Amino acid sequence: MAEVLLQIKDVTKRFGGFIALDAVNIEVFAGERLGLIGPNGSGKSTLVNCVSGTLRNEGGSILFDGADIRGLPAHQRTRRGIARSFQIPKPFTSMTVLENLAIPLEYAAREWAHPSQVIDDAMAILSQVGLEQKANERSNGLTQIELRKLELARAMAAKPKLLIADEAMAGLSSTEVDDILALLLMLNEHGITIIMIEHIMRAVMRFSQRIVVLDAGRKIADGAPEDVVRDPAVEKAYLGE
Amino acid sequence: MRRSSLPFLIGIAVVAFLGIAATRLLGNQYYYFAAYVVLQYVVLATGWNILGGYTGYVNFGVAGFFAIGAYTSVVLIKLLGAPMPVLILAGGIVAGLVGLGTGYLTLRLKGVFFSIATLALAIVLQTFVTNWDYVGGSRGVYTIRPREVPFFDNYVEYLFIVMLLLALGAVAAAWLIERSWIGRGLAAIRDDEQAAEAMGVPTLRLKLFATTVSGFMMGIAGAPYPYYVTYLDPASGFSLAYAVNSVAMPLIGGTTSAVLLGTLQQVATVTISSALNLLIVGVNLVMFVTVAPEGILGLAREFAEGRPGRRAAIAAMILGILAGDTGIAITGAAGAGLLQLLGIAIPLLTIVGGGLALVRPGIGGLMMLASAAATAAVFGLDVLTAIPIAIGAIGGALAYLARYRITASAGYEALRRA
Repeated sequence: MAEVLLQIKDVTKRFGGFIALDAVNIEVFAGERLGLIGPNGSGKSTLVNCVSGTLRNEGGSILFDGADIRGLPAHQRTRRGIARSFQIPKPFTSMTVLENLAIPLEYAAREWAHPSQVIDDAMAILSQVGLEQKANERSNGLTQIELRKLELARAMAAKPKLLIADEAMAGLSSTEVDDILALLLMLNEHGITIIMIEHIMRAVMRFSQRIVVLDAGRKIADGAPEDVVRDPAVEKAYLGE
Repeated sequence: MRRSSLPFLIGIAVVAFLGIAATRLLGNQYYYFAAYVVLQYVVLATGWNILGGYTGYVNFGVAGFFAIGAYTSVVLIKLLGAPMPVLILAGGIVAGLVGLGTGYLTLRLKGVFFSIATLALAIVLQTFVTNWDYVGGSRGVYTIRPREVPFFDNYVEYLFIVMLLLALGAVAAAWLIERSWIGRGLAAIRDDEQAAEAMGVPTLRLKLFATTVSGFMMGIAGAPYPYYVTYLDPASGFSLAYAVNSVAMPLIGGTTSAVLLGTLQQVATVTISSALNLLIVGVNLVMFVTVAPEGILGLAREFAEGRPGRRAAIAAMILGILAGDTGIAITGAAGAGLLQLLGIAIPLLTIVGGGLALVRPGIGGLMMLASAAATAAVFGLDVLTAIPIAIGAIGGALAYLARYRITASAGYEALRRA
């Protein structure tokens, strides 16, 4: 069995009296493609925020690469290899597409690089995602699909071991979904572990080797995609009794 | 992405040399007195811009940091009779540390709440100084200038050179920061702080760096001030004008290193009657923020792209503002009572017309032409009033050209589609 890259152990997160995550346990193995699904408000994004460091979990621990990362600010988690894309794209709007990638290349991909090296690396990533034509355009003029690609490209530029794609396909057409899906599969082939959070079931089913289902802050299912979708608890969570 | 810094550094050296050469040639003390204030605002605005322009945190407490520099000097002069370099360094360090502390306490605040906190800081400091007897309290304090300084004929020239070097140093430092990885990190914070943090940017540390450097620069701007005014009291040390001008320069020039473009406006205000200069700054600020939020630099970029009609509209706007500013300076200062009211109101109309030229060239042009005519009718044509009248009339004409070009190209557009 592959080694555990990310171990989420009894993670609990409260917002005032509301329990957003209730003792969630998830193990993610190195090189795995994990789908994380659940109805709206089930705690998926909260879990992502706890793992990436945007939020602090009150209870439980998060181990990444064998080390406890609780208490580390988000930027240090990124440097250790956890990159994420945002549900609503957050480009650096005053910069060009290329400069958007230069930020993680300079700050997160740790080894010092010469400026020309940074540009080469950025261009290489842009051509992987198919944005090389847009390299010198300002990022606020991009279309929705281009923004999604930029979001992923920027996460790739951080040279992560684990990539969390938070609804990277929301609002895209079906061919565009295929584009992004191909991109994520390609990254996984290069050895990057991927957690995909998604509402588009077709994409999740095709992509995931394993699916974890959250409902109201609890993990209700964890297993192979075809088993999970037949699970009565999952059906109940999505469709009611 | 990267340009050579050599031409820039040579430019800095040339300006420094010209400044020093000027003290050997120009005898009139007034020039140094006026230039000192302009340069002081260059330092202040450059400092403000590191936090406000690069990082996106608007600091309204400029006067507080400036006064920290000035009053640190007062203490050191009274206590030790310290020389100028020590005063500058000490003023900068104290203000930098206050910047660091303020940053640590307030950077969790976003947007307008951060701004209010910085404004409060300036007020707290002013209250503190007003009640501190050693530095003169509310009575103020006199500082006697040293009788002689080596290499200079008099102290004002010396102060001018000191401030010139500080301004060049500040601009060079800001320029280097903007082009370094630090500057790119600050820009990422300004664009989206959460995304910056997620991309590995240590946002808290960089913001503290920005508040410290920003505070340091504002502090060194204030350090020589007691010797410049020779009488310093809290009302002048903590004047709101510092904040207004320091915010206006980057916003009018453009918040990248184009702070220097805003210097033009500063030259105008310093040399113009002091009763009206804040009015001019305020009106220009409102104008730029509403119609050209990217400042002169943004307009220049647009001008370079050169869409039909747009160039003329931009030129019309600049001319309208220029005509209005000189109009206020000339006619507003000339009259009294109703005449002064008209002397301010008519040029204001020109400025608003200039701003409108960018969005509604027809109305804007009409306003500029009308106020040029009104100026001539009320104040008559003489050598001085001819300047704003001529500029305003040209601006108005250009606005009409812009209107024609825009409707013409829209017409072609419609024809082509039909």
